[in-house]
Amino acid sequence: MRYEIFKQDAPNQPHSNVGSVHAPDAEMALMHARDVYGRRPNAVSMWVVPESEIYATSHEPEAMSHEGRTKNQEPRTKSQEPEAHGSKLTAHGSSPTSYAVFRKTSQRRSMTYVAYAGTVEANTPKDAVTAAMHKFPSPATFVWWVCPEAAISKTEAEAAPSWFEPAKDKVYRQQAYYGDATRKNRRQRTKLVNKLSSDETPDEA
Amino acid sequence: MTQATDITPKLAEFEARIGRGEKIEPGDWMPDDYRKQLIRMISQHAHSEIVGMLPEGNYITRAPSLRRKMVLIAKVQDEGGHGQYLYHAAETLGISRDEMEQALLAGKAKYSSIFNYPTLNWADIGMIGWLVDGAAIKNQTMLAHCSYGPYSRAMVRICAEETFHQRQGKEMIVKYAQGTPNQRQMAQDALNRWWWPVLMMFGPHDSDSPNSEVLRRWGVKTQSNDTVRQLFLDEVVPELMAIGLQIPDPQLHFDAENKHWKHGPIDWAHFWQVVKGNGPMNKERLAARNQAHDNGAWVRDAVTAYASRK
Amino acid sequence: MNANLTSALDSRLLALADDELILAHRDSEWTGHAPMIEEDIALANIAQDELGHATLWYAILCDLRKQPDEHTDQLVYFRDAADWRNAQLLELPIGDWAFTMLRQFLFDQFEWVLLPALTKSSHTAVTQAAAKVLREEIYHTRHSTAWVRRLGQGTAESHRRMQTALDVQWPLANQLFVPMLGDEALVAAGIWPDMAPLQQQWLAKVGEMLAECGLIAPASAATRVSRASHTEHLTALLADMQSVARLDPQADW
Repeated sequence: MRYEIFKQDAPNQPHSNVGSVHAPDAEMALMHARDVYGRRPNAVSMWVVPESEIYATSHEPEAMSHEGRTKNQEPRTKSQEPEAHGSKLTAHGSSPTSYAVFRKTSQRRSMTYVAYAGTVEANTPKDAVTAAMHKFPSPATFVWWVCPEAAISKTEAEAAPSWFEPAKDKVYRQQAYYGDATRKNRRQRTKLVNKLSSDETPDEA
Repeated sequence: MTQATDITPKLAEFEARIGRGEKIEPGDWMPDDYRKQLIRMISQHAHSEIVGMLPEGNYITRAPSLRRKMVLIAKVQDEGGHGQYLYHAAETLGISRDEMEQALLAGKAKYSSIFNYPTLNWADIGMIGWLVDGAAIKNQTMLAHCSYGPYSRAMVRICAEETFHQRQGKEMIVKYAQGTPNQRQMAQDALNRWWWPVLMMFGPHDSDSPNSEVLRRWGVKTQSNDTVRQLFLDEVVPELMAIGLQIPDPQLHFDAENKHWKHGPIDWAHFWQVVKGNGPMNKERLAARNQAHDNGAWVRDAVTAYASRK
Repeated sequence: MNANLTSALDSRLLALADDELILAHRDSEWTGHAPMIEEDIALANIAQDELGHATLWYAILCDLRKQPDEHTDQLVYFRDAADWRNAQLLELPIGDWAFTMLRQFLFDQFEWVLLPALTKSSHTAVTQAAAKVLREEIYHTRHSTAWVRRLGQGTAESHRRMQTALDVQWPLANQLFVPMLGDEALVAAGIWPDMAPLQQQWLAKVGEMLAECGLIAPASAATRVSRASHTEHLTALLADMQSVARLDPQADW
């Protein structure tokens, strides 16, 4: 199964979509997400969501219909039409469900595709998007993703030091660790090596 | 291929968006040809990362210091990670990872020919880092500006991570070129074997590159093969010379008028032979990928069975 | 620290560092060959961690021997098989994915009982290193536990492969806990824990998981041989690992 990965870089920043992993279940997906997207020291939390649980709409709704797709592009990527996403999503059905909302707010080059905005209560994913448009009117949004909040698996806060801190000690992944054998570079390297071997303060000051 | 006349306004708007510097995202309208070219490029790029783990992975068990061992594991691991980022980017265009993987295993998919050469001495690891990754970074820096959002984002991430790959390789070669006679000889031997394949990495000359024009118009490739090759040459030639290594090209010279280094003729017949599957390691690389896949079949079955019962 | 204590601590540190290094070496062999790309990345990560742990323990050893840190590379690249002190369990070839995951699990569980005890060591450098290693082991344990559970309970084939691996590994795992010369003095000085009660904790933890998976610990006699004893696999491993470094012993790599 394919899981979309949302990574949070700092406690005050939203979880942003960074890519996906293939995994048999959510627990493995979370571990894969950590290994694939957390090799560099800039993660504090990760969420994984099965892609089948995500309902996506874009600002170009007509592009979502069949004429915009090549014939071999049936919605095995995200379910982009209300009728295409099948029973799994609408099964949440009659009583209101809490949906997590993610959105893309820039058309320019950006490292963020969709980022977490908050939650809405709705009966269907389609209604969740409508509710999201009312609840989060600005800035202008080009893509909405919604998924039932219950479909998100999250790294545990208490596990974060073990999951994400060790990446900070892997200083050999940073180019400053290497020199062209000049004295300045050697000094930098010594500093980094000292940092590596000092136990308690892996953080950059 | 555009098939209907009512596509034209859409095509115009699409090209206008690219002109405005907007990024095309997965749900947006795009011409079929754009989608196909991107799937071709991104999947080839992803395969290159995955196959690219093999030549260097070959030396993980033999890295001659704990520091080098650690760095090499991290580097080869990154390549796997980059393959992963790129498969993801290709998947957003509507092809599945399974389809891409099957094409690779069946020998139907292309990947960078540079990985069809063997690693014969330890200094090859440094030379790959410095020159092969250095060349790749030149291409990837260009592709980071590509008009397709997911590819561009993957490239930005990959470029940021790869700078250490190039640095660690250069550090090794600079050290070995000034090291013991053994080390100097290893470094020179590595350069002799990798130099020409590296120049070929940038692809055929512009005059022989059929896809280039449309890719440039749609903001996929913003610089030509020869332009990027020249950038690379001008950077590494003086650096290699400064540490006393001999570049194996008797016709290499500095064109004082244009202020560029000029290389001798590239053996394109050899290049196409490797592309067609007749390089020194094509069969071994494919066999290694197939073996990993086949040996992993029962593992994947087991985790799927476990997940389905939960 | 008196000479007896120093020598006893030297032996313990060398054994632990060698364990971590040889395991890291074996794990790293999977890079590029794992059953799924995600696991190529995961195992390479674990290999880096174990290598980092080995480096930490070797560094304390270098301090103890009043040698510079470069002494570590001498120990790793210019020491012959007879002088290594890793457990045989860790030097066996990688086998299949079941073999590698079970070995990782057994060793992670060993560290899981050893490290908390080491964080209470009266030797400050050991305490600090143990705390750091323990932090990373939380993730390792989660990873190997997840795999043992899935392979042990996945399909008939995966279960059979796990049982086959267990039959080979179980008797050897005992060597992780065999006493070493000078242990009593280390325990008395509060520098190193008594391994016997740790083995009981380990058996309880590992036993739970085996039971959950329906895996049967074989009745074959546990290995009692000392850590100085090795299989032929270590010789082959070292011949490969040390080959480049020994091409030119004077060179700085």
